[in-house]
Amino acid sequence: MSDLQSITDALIAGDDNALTQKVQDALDAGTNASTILSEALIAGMDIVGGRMETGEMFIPEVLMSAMAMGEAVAILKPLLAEGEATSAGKVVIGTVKGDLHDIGKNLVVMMLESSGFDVTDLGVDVNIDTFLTTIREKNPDIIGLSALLTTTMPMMRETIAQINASGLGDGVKIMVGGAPVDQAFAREIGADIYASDAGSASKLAKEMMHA
Amino acid sequence: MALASRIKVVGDAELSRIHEATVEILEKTGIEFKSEEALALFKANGAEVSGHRVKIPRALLEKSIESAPSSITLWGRDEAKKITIGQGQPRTHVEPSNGCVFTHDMDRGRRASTMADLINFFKLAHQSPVCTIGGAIPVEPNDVPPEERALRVFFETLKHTDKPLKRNVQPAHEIEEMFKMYEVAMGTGYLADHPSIYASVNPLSPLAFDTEPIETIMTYARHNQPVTILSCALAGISAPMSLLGAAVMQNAEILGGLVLSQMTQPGAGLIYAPASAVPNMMNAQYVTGSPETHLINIVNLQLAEELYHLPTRTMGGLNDAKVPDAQSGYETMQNLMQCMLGGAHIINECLGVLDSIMTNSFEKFIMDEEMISRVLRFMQGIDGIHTDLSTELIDTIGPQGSFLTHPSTMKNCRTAWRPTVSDWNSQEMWEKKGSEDVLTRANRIVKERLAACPESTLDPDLEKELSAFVESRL
Ligand code: B1M
Repeated sequence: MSDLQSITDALIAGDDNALTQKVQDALDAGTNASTILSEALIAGMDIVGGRMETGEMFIPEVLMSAMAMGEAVAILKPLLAEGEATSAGKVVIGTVKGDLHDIGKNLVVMMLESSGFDVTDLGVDVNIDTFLTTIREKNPDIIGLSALLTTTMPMMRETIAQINASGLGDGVKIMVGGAPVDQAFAREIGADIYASDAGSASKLAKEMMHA
Repeated sequence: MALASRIKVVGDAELSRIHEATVEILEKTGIEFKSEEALALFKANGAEVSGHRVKIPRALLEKSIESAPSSITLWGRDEAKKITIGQGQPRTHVEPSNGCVFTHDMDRGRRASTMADLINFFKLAHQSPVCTIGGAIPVEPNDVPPEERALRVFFETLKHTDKPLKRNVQPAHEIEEMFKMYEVAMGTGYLADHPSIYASVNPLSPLAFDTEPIETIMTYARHNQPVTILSCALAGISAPMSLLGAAVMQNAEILGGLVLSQMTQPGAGLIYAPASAVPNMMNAQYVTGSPETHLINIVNLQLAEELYHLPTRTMGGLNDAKVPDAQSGYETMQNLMQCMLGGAHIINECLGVLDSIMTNSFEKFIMDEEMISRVLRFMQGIDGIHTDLSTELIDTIGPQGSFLTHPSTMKNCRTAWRPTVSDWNSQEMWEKKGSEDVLTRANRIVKERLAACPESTLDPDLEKELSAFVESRL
């Protein structure tokens, strides 16, 4: 048990060197890879998520833990049974056409990745065609649209309309966010999820996958 | 006699170290410019270009800094309202707020802004004695379709003010159209020798310029209109956590924009605008009230004023309060003091703004005017009658006497600064007058000012012509 606790501690500390070493040690000592993943790592990220919500952990610290988690999972992956370490889901995300703001969207990407999502980030000023082509290619579970300008919020509506018109919206959830966007607007334009910050974006995305 | 000193964050030796670090970033790391036209121009001027990355050599940088003017004359439609920005300007210039998505007032609370709100903010700014610049987009007109906003907002701008103007980034064709419209009012060819409008252009921190901002820099320069390059990097997110590191980076960005403007048109007006922030690192959100923020920006003001001799501008009245409460007041005053005493030539986001530039409040506009006027008065320092050491007078009045009835007091008692919205009554008098708080008084002043404001500053024929111009293009 104590080696699992020390793995969790290293994860929460965001210490990737210590973490990968301890994971390796645990494997060498005969601990099951699946046990390490669920009882030390995923349990640890749950603690990290909780501490982020209460403000006990700051965003850069959370991201360090998430990155360390990624390295640890890479070690475990070959040893896990099929399906155990698959991604939490696939996301295609971008800032809509005409809008260059990406600080918030990048944060959402990092938080989604740290929750195990496989994210395709199309960047900023993304036109509708690029969204459509990528959705066709990647077949995502969630499409994320970010906008920070009232002048580009209508482009969010347009993008959703086109995704739906092309039939690509079936079975896919659409998430929107950005400082001027709110729940009412999200509902009005037919988005499934509105998230006010990066933490809730990843939380709501996870919930959506289990819904 | 202005104040004997302004706020300096670093000493001279540190300034040249920061400049050298900036040269290193420009020469070694470089900046990305997403425009073939700009890249070609850089190449032709001896910069090393690979892909979108441009490495700017010291010689080109120095030549560009040299050619940028240390002061700019900016004309208003009313030429009596023209201003000097930079060296020799008599006082800090004040620009209306920009980009707020929400409007707040006592009567209706916070709501999505409309064109009617925007016009009311234009009217307040036009009448405001502290506000020397007009234009900008104090609140977003959410009820006007985005594709019509540029021209409709510019029409209302011309209708409601004749002060020198500030505008935002736009694609080149929209800028050309706007300049044409301005010349409908002022005569064809007017802009070529009358800088009248400047645009605020942002680098995409860290170290990049997107296409439209580049088009704006180049189009304005070609028309002899100034631009202001405003960096808004967030330390720890889009800039280093180190305050000096952030100052170096935003210096590199602003100078990168300066080089582009000077290559396009040597001598084009360039206003250096450091406006980075120390965000809330707990959740990585943009906040504006940290006392650390202007430790970054004042270093950049020092560089611009002491080493580069450029006009400067920064976001001077920001705060993170959601309503015009005590927090809005103390954070605003902290930032005004730091930016104005730090020597910024123009302050913006300082008339009404709340909630990290998301909301604009009518009542706060009135309170901000007074806060700015307090700092302006302080910055005037000791001048006129105040330079008199008064030894003779002190001797005449002597111990236990009174200065109240002396002619020198009589003569000057109305020259002292007075508040425009704060309460200076005694408790008893304040109660007798209805125990109004500052917000209630500000609300009343807003209504009085709006009622007294003319519906248009344009001659009726010109207004018709401009309106027809807009309709013909929509
Ligand atoms: C998919 O699902 C999701 C889920 C949740 C999602 C999500 C997607 N996306 C975001 N979220 C949510 O989670 C994130 C993390 O917690 C959060 O993201 P945020 O982005 O809200 O938060 C970030 C972590 C930090 N916040 C930010 O990064 C935004 C801060 C402010 C100050 C801001 C910045 C920094 C910038 N800007 Co801009 N900028 C402002 C902003 C004012 C403000 N208070 O928000 C705003 C948005 N800008 C504005 C303006 C006017 C402009 N800006 C412009 C440019 C810039 C900079 C380049 C300087 C810079 C952006 C740098 C970059 N790489 O992104 C210009 C437009 C450029 C363009 N075409 O996009 C320009 C037009 C200015 C000009 N003169 O040209 C205003 C909006 C006006 C409007 N029409 O709506 C503005 C409110 C400021 C103002 N009052 O002027 C949530 O919203």
